[in-house]
Amino acid sequence: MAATKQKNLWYVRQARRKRRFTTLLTVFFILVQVIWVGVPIFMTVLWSLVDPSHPWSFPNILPEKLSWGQWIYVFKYTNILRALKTSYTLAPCAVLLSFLFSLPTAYVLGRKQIPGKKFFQTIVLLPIIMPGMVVALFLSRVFNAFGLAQNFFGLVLAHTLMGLPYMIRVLTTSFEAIPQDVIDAAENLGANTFVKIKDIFLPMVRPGLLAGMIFAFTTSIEEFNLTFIIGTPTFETIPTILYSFLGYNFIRTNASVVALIMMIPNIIMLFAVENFLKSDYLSASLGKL
Amino acid sequence: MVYGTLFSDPGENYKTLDIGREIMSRLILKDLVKKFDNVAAVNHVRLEVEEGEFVTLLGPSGCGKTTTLRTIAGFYQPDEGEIYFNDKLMNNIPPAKRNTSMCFQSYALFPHMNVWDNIAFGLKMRKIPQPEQKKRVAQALEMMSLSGMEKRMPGQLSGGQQQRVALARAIVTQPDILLFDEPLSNLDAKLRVQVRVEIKEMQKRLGITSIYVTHDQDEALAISDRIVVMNQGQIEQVGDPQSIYLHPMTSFVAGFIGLANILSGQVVARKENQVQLELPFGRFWAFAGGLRASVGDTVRFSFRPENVVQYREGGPNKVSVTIQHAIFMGDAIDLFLDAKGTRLRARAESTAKLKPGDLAVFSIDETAFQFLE
Repeated sequence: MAATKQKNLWYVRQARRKRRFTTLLTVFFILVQVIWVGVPIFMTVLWSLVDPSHPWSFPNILPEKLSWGQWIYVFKYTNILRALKTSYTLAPCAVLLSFLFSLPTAYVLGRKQIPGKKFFQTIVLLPIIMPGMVVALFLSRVFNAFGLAQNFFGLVLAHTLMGLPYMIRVLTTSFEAIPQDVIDAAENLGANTFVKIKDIFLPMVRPGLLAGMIFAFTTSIEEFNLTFIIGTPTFETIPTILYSFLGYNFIRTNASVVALIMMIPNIIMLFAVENFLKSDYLSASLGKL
Repeated sequence: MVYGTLFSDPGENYKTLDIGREIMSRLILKDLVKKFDNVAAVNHVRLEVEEGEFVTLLGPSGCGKTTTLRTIAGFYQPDEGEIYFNDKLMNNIPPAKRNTSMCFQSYALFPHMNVWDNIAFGLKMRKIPQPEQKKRVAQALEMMSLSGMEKRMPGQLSGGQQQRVALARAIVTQPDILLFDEPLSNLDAKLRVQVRVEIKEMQKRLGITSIYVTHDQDEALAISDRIVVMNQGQIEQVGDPQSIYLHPMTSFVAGFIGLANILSGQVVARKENQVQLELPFGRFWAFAGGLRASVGDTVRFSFRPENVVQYREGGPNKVSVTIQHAIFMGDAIDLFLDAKGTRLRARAESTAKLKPGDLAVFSIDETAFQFLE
């Protein structure tokens, strides 16, 4: 009797309604995520496993027969292995170079009072909002002029330029977040410029650095436009092979194989770094201030 | 209280401590000027701090106290004037080479280093050999009751513990001068009172010349050998806590430190060591002290609320008042009085029965009058 009475109290009802709403929202977002990310991945995997002799056509909801045929085809008749090697040599080089370029830039943008700082911060981001093909078309002229087309170093440079905006932006924010007191304390205790960079700045921007590196790395792995214009046919990367299966002779099955080859290492890397970032001391200690 | 005292057993700890230095430093500021955008934040500051002395720069925000401190540390270059440690001119010496240690309001611990590495940082910079480093860090840890926390990261410590790490890091390098930039303002009120006593005790034990910046007058009075009251980039008054409180020389000092009634009036009579002052609510006798004013001059003066008390038979300087507000403070009653239109602050014992609207007679102590510039 008492229990039923309690159930009818208005605030109990309201709390339950609230809880139901939260559950509904959660379910909704999970559903969206599944449709948005899960379904395409699942379809890609299916397409990549379709048996070449049993095409997957309209009335069938699932492929008739699965096999490694498409995978074998891609590895046999394309330069995918060489492209893999090129892509995964290019990306670390580009990341390293963009790190070296962006560190001083981000330091100045993040910590120094310079006139027109906001303007420079915006300029740095411009390449991101420009259409990739436009940048590529015009940059390729410059690369040609300097003899950097069909040249590995040229390719590294091109990929560096594409990753640089992300790197600079993230690092600038990290540099800005360091309290001046901490730098002053280091100096007060006897640290020279070199020690300040090595022992204070670098470890404290590490989370941002890692984030920037992931951006630069994936940008490089996925970069097609510039690679295509200044690199091919001397150099092939995973995206250029992927694009060769699209276009006029659109082969979805092979494209799916290459897409997976491109995607899987990135996903693994993302989780690895995410895990690494969990030991984020910075927010823990600065949150107290 | 969660935190133990820094020196639970002073005698015992003192014996094991050789962090203190034999050589101490005098600090001399000669006509220091520091400008930002052509506005003088520090305006011709002259100050000498003796070896081992604890001097507090006290003033409201924007008075130039922190700028002075940061100029001593070397973070700012003075625009004019000189800074000496002993006989050595420090103007062009970079902060890293000055051998000062600064305690920051934010503690400024290195968030990516554990407690041990934080404390050892200054020793590493000074290239102290490893075994000596270990010994000194261990001593500093013990002194600050931080033993056992070496491996913790600053983010895992409470505010009070972070404060101790900051102090340990500051003293372990055996600095010539310790600089404190409002180190207690992030602590809660009770802990603040406790830690300030501990800082003072530590400083006396180690004998390190110290400059302490605060806007908290209670803190300044409690902790200092001498107080430098600053206002608008200039020094208003320098003196030990007692003389600053009891004998303020300017109306700014009188008003900033403690409560004060600041009034002006005409000298109407003079005899021996006393002057009679004409005020809107009566004539009062006051001890002249060093006052040079003669009859007819108008003078400014202050007296503390605790010197305005309820009249007793034979008491001095009677004044009839109406009580406006009576605020019970526990140890006393804070009174706002109306004396013929002039508002006075006064004190009464906490047992007194006073209500707003009551008429009462108070008296002002002759010795309480402090004549201001």
